[in-house]
Amino acid sequence: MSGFLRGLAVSRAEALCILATVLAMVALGLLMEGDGYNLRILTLAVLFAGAATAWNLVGGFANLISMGHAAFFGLGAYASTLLFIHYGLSPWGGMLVAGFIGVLASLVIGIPTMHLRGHYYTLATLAAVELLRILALYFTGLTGGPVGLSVPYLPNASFWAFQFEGSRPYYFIALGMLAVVLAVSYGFDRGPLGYRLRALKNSPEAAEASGVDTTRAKLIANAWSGGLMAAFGTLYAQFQFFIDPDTVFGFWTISIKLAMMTILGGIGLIWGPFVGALILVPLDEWANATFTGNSAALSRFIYGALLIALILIRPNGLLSIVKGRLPTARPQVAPATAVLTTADAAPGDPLLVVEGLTRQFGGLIAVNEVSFTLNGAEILGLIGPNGAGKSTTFTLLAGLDQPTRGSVILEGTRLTGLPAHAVARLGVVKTFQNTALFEDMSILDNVVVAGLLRCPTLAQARALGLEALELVGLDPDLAPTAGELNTVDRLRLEIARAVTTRPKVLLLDEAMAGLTPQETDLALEMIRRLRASGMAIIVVEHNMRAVMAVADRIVAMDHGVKIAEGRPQEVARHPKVIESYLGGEHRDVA
Amino acid sequence: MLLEVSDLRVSYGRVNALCGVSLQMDRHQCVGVLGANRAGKTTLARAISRLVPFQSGDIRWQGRSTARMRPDEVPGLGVAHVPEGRQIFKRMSVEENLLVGALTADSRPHRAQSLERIYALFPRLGERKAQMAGTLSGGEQQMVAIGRALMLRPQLLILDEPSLGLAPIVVQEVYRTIAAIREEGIAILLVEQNVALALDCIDRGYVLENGCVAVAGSAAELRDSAAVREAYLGL
Amino acid sequence: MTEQILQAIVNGILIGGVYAVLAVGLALVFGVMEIVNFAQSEFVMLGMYIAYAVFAAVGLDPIAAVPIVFLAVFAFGAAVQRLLIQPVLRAPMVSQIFLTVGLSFVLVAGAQLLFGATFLSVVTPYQTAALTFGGLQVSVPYLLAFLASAVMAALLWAFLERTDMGRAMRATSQNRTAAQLMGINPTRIYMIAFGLGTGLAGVAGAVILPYAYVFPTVGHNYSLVMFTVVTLGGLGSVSGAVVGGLVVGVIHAVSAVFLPTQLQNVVVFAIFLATLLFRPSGLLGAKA
Repeated sequence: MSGFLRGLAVSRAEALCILATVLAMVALGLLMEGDGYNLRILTLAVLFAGAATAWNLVGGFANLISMGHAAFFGLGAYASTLLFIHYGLSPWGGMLVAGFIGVLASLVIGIPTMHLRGHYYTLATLAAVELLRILALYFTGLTGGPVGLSVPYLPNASFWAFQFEGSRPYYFIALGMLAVVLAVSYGFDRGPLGYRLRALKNSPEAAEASGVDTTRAKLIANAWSGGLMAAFGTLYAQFQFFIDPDTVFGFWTISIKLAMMTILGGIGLIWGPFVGALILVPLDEWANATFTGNSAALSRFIYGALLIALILIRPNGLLSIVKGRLPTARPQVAPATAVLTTADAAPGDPLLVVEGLTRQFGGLIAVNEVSFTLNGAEILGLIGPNGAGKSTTFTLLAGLDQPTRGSVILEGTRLTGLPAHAVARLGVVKTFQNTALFEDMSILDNVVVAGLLRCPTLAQARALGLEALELVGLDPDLAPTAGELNTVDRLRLEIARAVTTRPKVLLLDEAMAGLTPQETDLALEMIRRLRASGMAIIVVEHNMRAVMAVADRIVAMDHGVKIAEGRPQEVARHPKVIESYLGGEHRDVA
Repeated sequence: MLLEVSDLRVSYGRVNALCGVSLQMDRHQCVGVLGANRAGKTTLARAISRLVPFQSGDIRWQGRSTARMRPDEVPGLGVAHVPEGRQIFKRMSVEENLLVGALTADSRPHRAQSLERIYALFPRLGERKAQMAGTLSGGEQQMVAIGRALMLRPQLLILDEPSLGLAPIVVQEVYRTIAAIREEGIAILLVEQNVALALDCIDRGYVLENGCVAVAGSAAELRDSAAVREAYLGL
Repeated sequence: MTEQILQAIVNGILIGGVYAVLAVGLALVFGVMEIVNFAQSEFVMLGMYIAYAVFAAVGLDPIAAVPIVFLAVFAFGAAVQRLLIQPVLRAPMVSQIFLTVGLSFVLVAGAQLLFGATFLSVVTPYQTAALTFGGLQVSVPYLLAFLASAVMAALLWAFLERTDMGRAMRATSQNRTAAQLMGINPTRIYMIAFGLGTGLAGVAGAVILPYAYVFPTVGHNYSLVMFTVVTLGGLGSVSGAVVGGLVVGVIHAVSAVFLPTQLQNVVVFAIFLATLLFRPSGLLGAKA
């Protein structure tokens, strides 16, 4: 049992809390009057808790603020109901079909919108669901239009027809479905996908560069969310016996409500939506029953005012109070058994061939016809004054941007045109100039994300990450999160993360800037160690002394053009290099 | 004393960016803040402009502490700051950029003369005053940034990496302009990582390493310092 | 048919002018402080109720009441910004979005508590008047609404382009830090920009009152049209919102010739989605 819990990364204390919650919910279901009003409300609360938990998979874990989840909910409600009416398909089957349609719809909506950021994604989801609502209202023949659609009542209530006496069976079905979606949430939070999504939330670019296929991660989250949401739509239709477009495709009735519950409980927390729904749904029902006629507006007024107050006072939700108070499970570490490839190129043979690399931004040519070769186990220095195009070159090599012309070839494989995560998988990884760490994540988790590129399990990824941390000399317990590290340790972690992906080619972008001479010497020592472990390395550096000390060869750039290439001493004496660094007048200074 | 920074500490979370930096400058002086990328130079400049909060120490302008000031109150003192990377208003014309530079109570009444003065100093800007600033070359954008700061009629001009990303020939032009501004009696705080370049134009300099002052002294003293020669001049 | 389409284009332009003013405030607020105000359409409703109240109290025509409505909504919007929006300017997007959603709840419910859920309207002498040019009819209330909108748009342009405050506002939207270094107080700019943005929505509400009913949820009719307009013009682009408003107005009216009324909005949403998917920076692409 404890081994199983550890596998899920659930601590004993957390398991006890979950058990207590389950028992309490079951007891409530058994003790309440079966055909009473209270159990009916509680059933709705559990139903919405499940739907909100499904929303949280996207809105919380993937940080995609969807306002369009009523689309999946409504599709699920209509699909199962129409199949039941027209083809006599049991709503249980209908729920399966609905789930399938939900997944499909999530892809149809998701694939074209995944590249949208922030508000644009939110607006797109909003438009999608409005479109569905209008169409559902218009095609009255199919949906009943504004009049709505009733689920035909079969007098001999049966399990097959998903129709039962009283609320109790519905309550336990809802509870079971909630358990499923909570389990999925645990899988998201504690599994590899959760690490990838958290990394993505912190820095999409760094996540890509560390080998995370960010589009795929978001689509997976969207698909789970859409499929589960549709299943809850089916349950809603069966429980209410009536659906209409304005309700099930509603912006205010579904989309906003789910998000509000999640925010109330705690967005991005597994149990947040559950807590939020259990408070909000009964409150809503109570207010609706208490205030009628014009004073019904009073309940909406209070609703809105509470939402505003909540966001101003406790934006992370009620559960954020307990977050971090529960002991966490000790992470498992297992030796990485995955096949870790190293470069085939023997030391001295060409490994990475860059040819005619050009990147144009409007009128500015940032990188202009740059060609060079990196050999196996070589350290190549890339130097030049600010604005010479070094960082742009790195961005192109790592696949974070695509060149206007030219190509990058690694051991015969063309990297140009591939996304950054694919380039990382093939073995070319870059560090970020001003460090792009996953600030809210622990030191170990920062490297674990990168380790997942080579290992199927978290335990193995940890082993790989710990190895890299040792190589750069960073203690994983030095600080609770990466955001609290000082400059030097941030640089170490940045390098460790790149090393964890086991690259063939490591691109270090100003990894020594801002270091004292002693720290620089340590960094140089580390770079030599990395090379000794079989990597070829390109360093972009301002610190001339450091480059001269460590590089086998140097490529000098200025204004996007390669101006010199050769052994360090040759390049340092090259007149063009001296001029570009010090300007004509200052030639005597050097 | 025009500006006095004493024992200034700045940290972002647990990360120390400045570890007790002190700096003084008088009227009409040109003082350099030198060092490698990320040494804390820009943080110091931004702290003086109150763009970043500091944990301890003090900044005094003509004897008065600016610790409680908001960044938008600092220009009113006569302190103009040309930030790193120029930060011009790209979708406004050159002239509009300059006009925005003279919004304080002291500078606004003189803005017609100030415009004339800037166009005299940078004739190229005069020729392109209606052009969108974002479409100018890097060097011209730097002129807009400096011109915009001068519109304030400042007593102190903070220049953060004015040579960043510019072609050598343009860098020389920028430095000639800096010399001309000095001639007018404006004090200059020059933040520069290109130590060789800066030493030619400053009276005194502070070399920062890891957020602390490593070496300080007159330009000549810095040029003779073994540490500076080895670490920054490549000698 | 051709005549029908021409007539639709004329109506579309007249309505589009109002859409432009509706949306321009949303664009201005997003451009300056990167907040999408999901309660923007409730300020239209607010403007309609204020104009209605003024009409009911002293019989002033809603078009003539535009200055009063603008000032009232401006003051209210500026206060909302200072008290509610300012604290979440650096918060995660989800907090910003749902804060304005909460605000929308409060405003709609507040209006219902104050005015009830009934549909209200004003009676003007020109309510049913129309001018005829050849075969084309131009409804007088639509024309007046369009002209008032055009004047507002021109005044906004003059403010942004010709005054120190307008320049300071544009400077802040382009580069907040640099604006601070010029002595501009962003908090003050944000307050004024939000007041302006909501005030313009209020004006749009006042000018449509002669031909539209006011009720608490009237804003919902305009919110998605508004988002379409700003997305089409490029989120944050003021000139884009003006062009977007006219385009959406015309598309809306012309599609009504070919499609049943219930499907009128489908075309608008289709354009909305297509713009988001293929040109997320808007047709004019002012700000990505």
